[in-house]
Amino acid sequence: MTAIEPPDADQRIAMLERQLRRARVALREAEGLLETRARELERSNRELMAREQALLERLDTDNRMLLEAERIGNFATIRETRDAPAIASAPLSDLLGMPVAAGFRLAAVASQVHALDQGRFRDFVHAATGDGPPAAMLDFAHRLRREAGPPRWLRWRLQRRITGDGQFLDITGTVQDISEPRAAGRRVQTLQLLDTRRTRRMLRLARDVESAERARIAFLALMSHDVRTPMTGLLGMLSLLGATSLTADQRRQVGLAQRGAEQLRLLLDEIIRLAEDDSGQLALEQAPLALRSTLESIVDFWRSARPDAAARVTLAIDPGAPEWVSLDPTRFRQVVDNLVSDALERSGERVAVALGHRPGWLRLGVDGGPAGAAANSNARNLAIAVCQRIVDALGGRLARTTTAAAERIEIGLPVRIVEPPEHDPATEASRILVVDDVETNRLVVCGMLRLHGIETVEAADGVEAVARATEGSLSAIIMDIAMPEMDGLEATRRIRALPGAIGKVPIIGLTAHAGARERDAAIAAGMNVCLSRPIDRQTLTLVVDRHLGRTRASATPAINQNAFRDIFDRFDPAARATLFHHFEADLADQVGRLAQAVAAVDATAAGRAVHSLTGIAGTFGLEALRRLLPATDSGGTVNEATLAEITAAAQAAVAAARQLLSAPPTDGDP
Amino acid sequence: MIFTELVDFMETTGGAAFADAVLLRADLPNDGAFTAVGNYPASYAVDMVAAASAITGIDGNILCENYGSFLFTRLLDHFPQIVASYTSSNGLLRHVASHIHEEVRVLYPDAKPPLIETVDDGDALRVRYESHRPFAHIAFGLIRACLVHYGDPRGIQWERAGSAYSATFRIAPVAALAP
Repeated sequence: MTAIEPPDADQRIAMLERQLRRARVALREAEGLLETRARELERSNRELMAREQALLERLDTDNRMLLEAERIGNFATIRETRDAPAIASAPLSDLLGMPVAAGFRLAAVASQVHALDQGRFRDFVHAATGDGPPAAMLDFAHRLRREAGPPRWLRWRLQRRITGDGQFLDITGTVQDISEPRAAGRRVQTLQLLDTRRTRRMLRLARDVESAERARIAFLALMSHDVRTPMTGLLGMLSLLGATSLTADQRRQVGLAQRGAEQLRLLLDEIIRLAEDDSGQLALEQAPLALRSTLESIVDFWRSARPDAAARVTLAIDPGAPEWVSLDPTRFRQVVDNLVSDALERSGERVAVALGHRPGWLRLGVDGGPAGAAANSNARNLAIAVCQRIVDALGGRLARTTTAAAERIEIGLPVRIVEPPEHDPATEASRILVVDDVETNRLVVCGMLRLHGIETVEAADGVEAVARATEGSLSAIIMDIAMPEMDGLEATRRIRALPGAIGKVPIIGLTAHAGARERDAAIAAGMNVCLSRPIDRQTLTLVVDRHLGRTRASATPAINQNAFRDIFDRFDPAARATLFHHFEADLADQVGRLAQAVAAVDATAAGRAVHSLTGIAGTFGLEALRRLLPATDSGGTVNEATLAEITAAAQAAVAAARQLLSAPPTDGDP
Repeated sequence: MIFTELVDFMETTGGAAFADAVLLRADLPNDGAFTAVGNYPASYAVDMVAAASAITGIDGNILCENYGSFLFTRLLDHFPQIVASYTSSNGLLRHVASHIHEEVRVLYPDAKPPLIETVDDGDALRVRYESHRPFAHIAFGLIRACLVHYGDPRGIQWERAGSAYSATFRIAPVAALAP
């Protein structure tokens, strides 16, 4: 490029002036720009300083909070590195009870450690700050050396790091005074131990009390059973004595004796019931219950059972009360029976039974006179205790209101209203003809049956019985054997000869002579079974239920399939067959022994057989059989009726077992 | 500094009177008073190059390329450590955007440096220039001087027609360049 030279001096001056002007303007512009940038820098600097200050304050606050936390938590923070001196927060001096100068080493703490912990502490320091062992979280507790007082405990928690080649790098962590938490933990442990011991002792005591109570009840029940049998005989004799020709004075004395004996029998019944109820969980069933007819039958029974009660007992049923409810019929009957009996016993006042209803609840009140001094308070308490227990089990309440002039017992029971059952033999009204020439005997048997919810009709001899049977509509007949006009055997033969259903009606014989000849004659005449007097309610209802096809045992399966399978499925088919053979043989053998013992009236042998049968039934899940077997300690209570039941249940169990074995096992095993 | 260096370039190559004549002829709003720390419209440079071209009769693009080469030597004077940190022209060119222009942005928040992208292509290197300023020819001169500085024997060529705002240069052994 060619340089352009200005032609003269003036032009040169003008050019220089222009250059100077440009330079000045540019200088000013540059100064302005620099000024602006300087201000911006200044402002940025101030902002930075302010932020730095804020950060410092924040750091200070955090630090103070940490120190405060350390003071409250009784701990200090510590960091020791391979090369640099250790750093620890201020509380460390207080924790160790020694001045901690900058640059101290963890190992120096050893001088403050309790003599017994010195060795462990040295190992800990070596593990924390030595070379070699890998990085880890170290946790160590030790006692401090102290002149007096309880020992103080320190706990170190250090995070150890090492370099790549395994050299110690640093440890960071906390050291805390754990004396108090440790002591508190110890106290809690001690208290827990004490508590466990105390609970164990209480449980043992409770078990002792329970078993003592069971023993007491079992003894009572045993005694009562034993006393009741002669008592039934005594009552029978008294009623027979009352039927003979007596002087007025003698009749009064016999009446007194009868009343006393009756009262004694009631007391025994209550004790037995209480014992039975207490002997475990109350087994409850839910079944449709006809409220009105049940209450009417109970009231009717008491009206007829006690001539003095006929006019005294009234029954009022709220029209809104449901016809049918779902409730345990046996237990309900037992409660009402007890309450009415109790009200009748305690005074000569009127007894008013009233049934009320609220949604979901039944209210049954029994009003009577006050408990007089003459009333047997022991029997009363037993009866009420039985009621209370049943009502509790049913989920209801029992309230007792006593005034000087009257006493009222009211129970509330939760119930569900149900439709009347279509056709159920268990609740179908059964009508039984009771044939006996002795009125007291008829009364007793009818009373037992009515309490069981069975309607009764009566006949005084064989002729009347056959006439009544001809009219039909009987579910069963209970027939005395020795009667004037026509005896029970003849009457049975004639009824069996009748055409239609009535000819096949179950006939249960009753005889005072327990001999085999008598029984054989009864069966030959066409009776289904022949029972010996005196007869108790349990045996009578058991036999009647069986012949009416409403046996309670039928609700119980002959075999609990699961229990049975549990045993048999473990074996291969061949072993199963062998096992079954033994099972069947043992069962037959023990039933046979029991039958012999009952025939020989050998209570000890019967008890042994019952014991063996209970074992077999329990092992193989023979539910129905097990229910029939009396408690092993009262084997003597097996009589002919229960023996028949037991034999039938054993045969049913064998049949059910055979069927189960022929069916494929549940687990698909061939 | 583009503007102050442009004035310096005029003075260095044509003398003070020539630079003065260019500024008079360009008739800029600021009368050609530039400071290195200021920011000016690109049209000022365009007007100055046009004025120099009119006075000398030399093509404006040639002037720009020459100015680019001049500018590289000045940058070398001002920032020797930057250039020294690279051992080859490829190294420097690849990092123009990420290294040099980033620093410019930090120092001068208002500045808008051009977009410079490099693509390796065997022995060759493609450099793309794109800017709101029409200074592609200056960039071309800068790269040429850069090759000379590193003793790089390769040549440089406009790859496509492009424009002063957007262009791609191909740096390759001379034999491989189009005639």
